[in-house]
Amino acid sequence: MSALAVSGLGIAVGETWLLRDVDISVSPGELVIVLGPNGAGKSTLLHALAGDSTPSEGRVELGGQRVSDMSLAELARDRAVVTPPKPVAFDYSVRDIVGLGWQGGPSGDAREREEALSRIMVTVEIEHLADRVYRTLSSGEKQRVQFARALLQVHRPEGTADVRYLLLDEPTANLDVRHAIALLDSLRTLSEQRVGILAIVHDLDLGARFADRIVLLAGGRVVASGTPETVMTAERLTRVYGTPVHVEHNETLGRLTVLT
Amino acid sequence: MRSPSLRGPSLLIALVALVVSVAAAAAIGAVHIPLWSSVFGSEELTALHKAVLWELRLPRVVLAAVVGVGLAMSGAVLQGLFRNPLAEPQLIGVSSGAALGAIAMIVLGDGLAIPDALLPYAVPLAAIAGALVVTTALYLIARRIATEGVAIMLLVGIAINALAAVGIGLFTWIANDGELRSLTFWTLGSFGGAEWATVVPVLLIVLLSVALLFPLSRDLDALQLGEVEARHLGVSVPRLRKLVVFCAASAVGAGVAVSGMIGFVGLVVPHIARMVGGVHHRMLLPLSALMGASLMVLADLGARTFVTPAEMPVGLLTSAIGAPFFLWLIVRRDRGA
Repeated sequence: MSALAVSGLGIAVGETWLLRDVDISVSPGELVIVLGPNGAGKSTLLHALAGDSTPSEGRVELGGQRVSDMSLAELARDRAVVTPPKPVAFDYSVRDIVGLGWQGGPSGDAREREEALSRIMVTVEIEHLADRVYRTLSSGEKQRVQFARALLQVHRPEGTADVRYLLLDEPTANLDVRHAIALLDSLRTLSEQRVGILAIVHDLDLGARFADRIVLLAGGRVVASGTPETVMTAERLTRVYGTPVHVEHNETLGRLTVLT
Repeated sequence: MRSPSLRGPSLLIALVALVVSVAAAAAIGAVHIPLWSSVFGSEELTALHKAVLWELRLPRVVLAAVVGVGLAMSGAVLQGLFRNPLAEPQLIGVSSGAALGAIAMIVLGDGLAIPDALLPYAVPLAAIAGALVVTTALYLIARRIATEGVAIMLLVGIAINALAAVGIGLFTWIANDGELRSLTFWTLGSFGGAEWATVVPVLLIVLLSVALLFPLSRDLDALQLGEVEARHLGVSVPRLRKLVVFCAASAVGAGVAVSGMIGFVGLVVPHIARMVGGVHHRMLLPLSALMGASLMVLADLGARTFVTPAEMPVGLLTSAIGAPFFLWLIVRRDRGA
């Protein structure tokens, strides 16, 4: 079974279950977007998938292997994670930070590394920031740099088709509309290269627009999972979020639109 | 921006600077040793010259260099581990922990019946133990209050230093003069007692630390993104933490055991090394080691020649340079520069 999957996942802290009875799988080439109100357990789920936490119940598997049995080096090669950026104390340049994603090791092909790094910085539109000190960037810029770092981590030379996964915790949180759409666009492109992607996104409309599949979490449980059309009904979203949500199929755009 | 082309030669320049510092420190002193003309000219060294050089000058210079390497490297890796540019072995209390360990061993060690062969190692090991306790405690405290930022660690350092000072003061007060060197030695440092028998254990311990720390460069870089983030990049943070704490405490402890507490070297040197060679640890660590050695050798040269025939504590000199530098760092950071 080639997927990143949790089955029967439960994570408890003390007496409180942060997640319970969660079954989710991300297949290579699939873009899964996780939605849900604050405290739904979205980040907890992401960290479980990343192998950061030990489940209280159930299992987390990557390509049929339990993530707890995999070495950190194997995990770093097979999956990249984007978390909300933390402060960096020293004056690393943007290029330095992106370069940390490289998994080829110190003896890896230096030219391949430089080419991939430059290409990715162009894709994410941060090439003009390459020599800037990361510490001095705005939070949106930092977020794009971290995204570029993760792209380098899942980068493979042309022709290699091994499966990788990308997990993103609110990658669009500080981005303006154009950059948010650009980021989700590049996730789409990436999913066409056998990368399985799971992203936590707060913007319901962006979720509807880009997801292959939506997982709607609330109270630590999966409320619904499936295509945007099946999951994102006005009645269900209104109930889960506790505020009126309008969903309609927009004929001009040819897709679901979500208004709040 | 720093030009990458400056970075390659900077290691070479630092190496040359170290060789020159060592040669100068070996030649200059109460007895001048004509090193230059004996190597490049026809002058022969007299028996007195040779004795001074081998028995007095060189052990002292080598010890200063080794302690400089230990303090500067420890400062660099502790700053990296704590992700805090103001972490410095003495400011955060690691050196006082080491001094307290060393003093406790000297005063109480008689009762332990330590074999003679291990005696030269007993005091450094006790100092290392003291440094380990403090570094581990700091790490645990820093993790609990990580959100409080840079300043909290220095406050914790003040508390640890105050606590250690009580112990150090108490032991120096109850000890016989024969057992213990002066309080000045422990708090301001000196290389005055250097002889090969004390140099060798320190040299071995510092070399071991250096050998263990150098391969951690990439991991320390990745750690700057955060602990979970470093893990996502394949870094075992618990292993990294143990190695850094162990090596830094060992290098500082071994140094403090033989030369007392010498302040600010671990702060000033890594900062200058970052300005010269950039923030990457694979450059920062070797450059800090070389510059730390040079700085300490020159500081000791100053300490024993500025007020001849008397000698000033070397820590006075390093603090005279380091304390204003520390102030400048604080002001600069506060401006958000």
